[in-house]
Amino acid sequence: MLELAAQQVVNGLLVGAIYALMALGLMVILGILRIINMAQGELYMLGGYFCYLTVAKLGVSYFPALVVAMVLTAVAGIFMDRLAIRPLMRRPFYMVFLSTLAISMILRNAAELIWGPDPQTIPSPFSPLPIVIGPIYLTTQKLFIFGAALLAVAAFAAFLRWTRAGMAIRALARDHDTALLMGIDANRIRAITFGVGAALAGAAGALIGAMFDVYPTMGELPLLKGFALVVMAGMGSVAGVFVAGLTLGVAEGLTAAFLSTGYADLVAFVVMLCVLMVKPEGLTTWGRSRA
Amino acid sequence: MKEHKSPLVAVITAIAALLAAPSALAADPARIGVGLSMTGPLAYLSQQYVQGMKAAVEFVNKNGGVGGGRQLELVIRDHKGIPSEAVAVTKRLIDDDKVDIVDIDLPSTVAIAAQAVTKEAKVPQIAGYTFAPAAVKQGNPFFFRACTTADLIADALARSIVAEKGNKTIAMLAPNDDYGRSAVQALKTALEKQNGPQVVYADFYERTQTDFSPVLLKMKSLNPDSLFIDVRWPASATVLKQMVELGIKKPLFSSVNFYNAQLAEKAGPMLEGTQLSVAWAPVFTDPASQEFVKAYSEMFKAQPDDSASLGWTATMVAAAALRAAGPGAKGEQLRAALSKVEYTGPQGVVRFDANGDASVPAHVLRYQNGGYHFVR
Repeated sequence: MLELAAQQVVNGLLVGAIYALMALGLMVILGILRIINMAQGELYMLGGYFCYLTVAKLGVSYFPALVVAMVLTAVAGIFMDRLAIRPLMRRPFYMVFLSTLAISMILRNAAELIWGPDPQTIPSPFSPLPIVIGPIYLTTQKLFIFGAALLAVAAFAAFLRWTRAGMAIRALARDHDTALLMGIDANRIRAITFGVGAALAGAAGALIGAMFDVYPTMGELPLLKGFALVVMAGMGSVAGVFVAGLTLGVAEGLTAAFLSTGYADLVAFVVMLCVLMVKPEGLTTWGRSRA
Repeated sequence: MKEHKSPLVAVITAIAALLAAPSALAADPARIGVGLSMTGPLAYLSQQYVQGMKAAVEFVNKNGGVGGGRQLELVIRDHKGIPSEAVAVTKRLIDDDKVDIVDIDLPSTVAIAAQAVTKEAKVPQIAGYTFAPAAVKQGNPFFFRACTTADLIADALARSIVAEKGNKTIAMLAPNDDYGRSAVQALKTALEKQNGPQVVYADFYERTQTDFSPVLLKMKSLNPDSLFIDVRWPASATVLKQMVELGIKKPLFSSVNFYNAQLAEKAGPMLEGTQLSVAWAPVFTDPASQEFVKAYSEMFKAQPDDSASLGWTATMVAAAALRAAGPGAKGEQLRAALSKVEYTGPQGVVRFDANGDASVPAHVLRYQNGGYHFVR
């Protein structure tokens, strides 16, 4: 029993790191731009396909392809914002929400038309054979994914904390009007924010795509889990979202082990509802001005 | 400027048009309305099924159509495997496309949901890929199942599970839907009847699930002698891969979900030794199978699979009913004709009982040395 729990915890941590990566992309767009981006799952899907095309069609090796996928997904995110979101920014919020929902449908159907509904495998350099440490079974691929997710989250935190653009993003999140008065170029920061949010989703899609294949509907569930995490962690710290992601991954693993795998998704949404009822602003915040 | 024609010219023109296209007027095509999960997790099976249907349509039309100079046509729509969408698709096929017979399949829940529409509209509904026992228990006289059932599939597979040496316990995993729950329940019942291994664990996964590590770890911790894993493509490839990653090596039993050329190509070595229940396989050499394989291979330049064979049979049965009922027959006349159809297809004889169930037998294959082989 203990061995099973230990293995589920390790497995949950690995899965949770990916959830966190997806949630960070959502959080930055929701927190700064106040946009519930329903197409974030499709950006995740595009990340997977960009990686697949770069590796399988262009013959580039997997590791540089991850960076290519992040860059291309960031560009796709900026285009998406410019074409279908920014023109609606002075309209009611539900119009923007519906616009992102429409983009989500369009991208998913376009992917089905272009690449077909069948899953595509990203050729990866990892051995399928397990590394056995006591009762724990790991693979180099899972360890790499965890490390890469950790690196992406750390890089994102450093970007927010130490770069001028990151500081501008935080300033806009804390007090939008004052930030504009201080001379921050809102349109530029907006594009950067969308690009960064999309790149994080693209990274998650490219990492997970190598493990579970890429297909047009692959973004459905990560999007929902991402939202659950954002609600749980609030518009707060990067570390908060990361810890919430790991917690969710572990909780799901333990649910599957001791209850049923069919109830694993239930955990995310029950926790989300509980947090919404007890602390609607989430467990952490950007420290937004309440004035 | 508006053109005026004399009445005589108009009559001559009309007669000429009638003479020029006599067959078009004499024989409107007979139409089968097809609702399948053309997108989503069942897209692969649906596409194979449609290809089988198309091969049958081509075969029927090459051999004189369905009587009275009528050709056979398919109208295909996507319900995404969602019952509410299947209801809408069925209505559209009947009301807008004016089809004669509908085939709403994949998964079983959509065939059950669509029956509310076909029963009320009195339009015959044929099911070529609906295994859930409940499908023929909806009190719908217009519903006909031309394939095998979860019970028959389970009986066939249970014999293989019981025959496995030293097999005293088994753990099961199936989709959390009508099909998966029926499959597990039917297999549990069949194993009990045959004094088979004890079922130590049974769980169901969600359609959107991609990571099977938690449930595989749970199964591994129970150390069963064998596994029944009925996971759909493409998740089936992930399950096999994760079994290797988690060091799980047990005799594996499955269903048609593991009968898949793409799966074999992608995870062949991991599939070695797996036994699976199917409705049909290209290893069958009876005349009906040969006829099907020839027609399919000529059209698609590829070997058909189990799903394609089910599409073929459903279409051939529908064609036989349309032929027997004759041109212009609708609703009740078509239903009566369907109830009397007797067709020997690749899977066996299709002959409907009072519940509209053909109870076509199921078979077992083993994947060995890179190919599927007939077991029983």
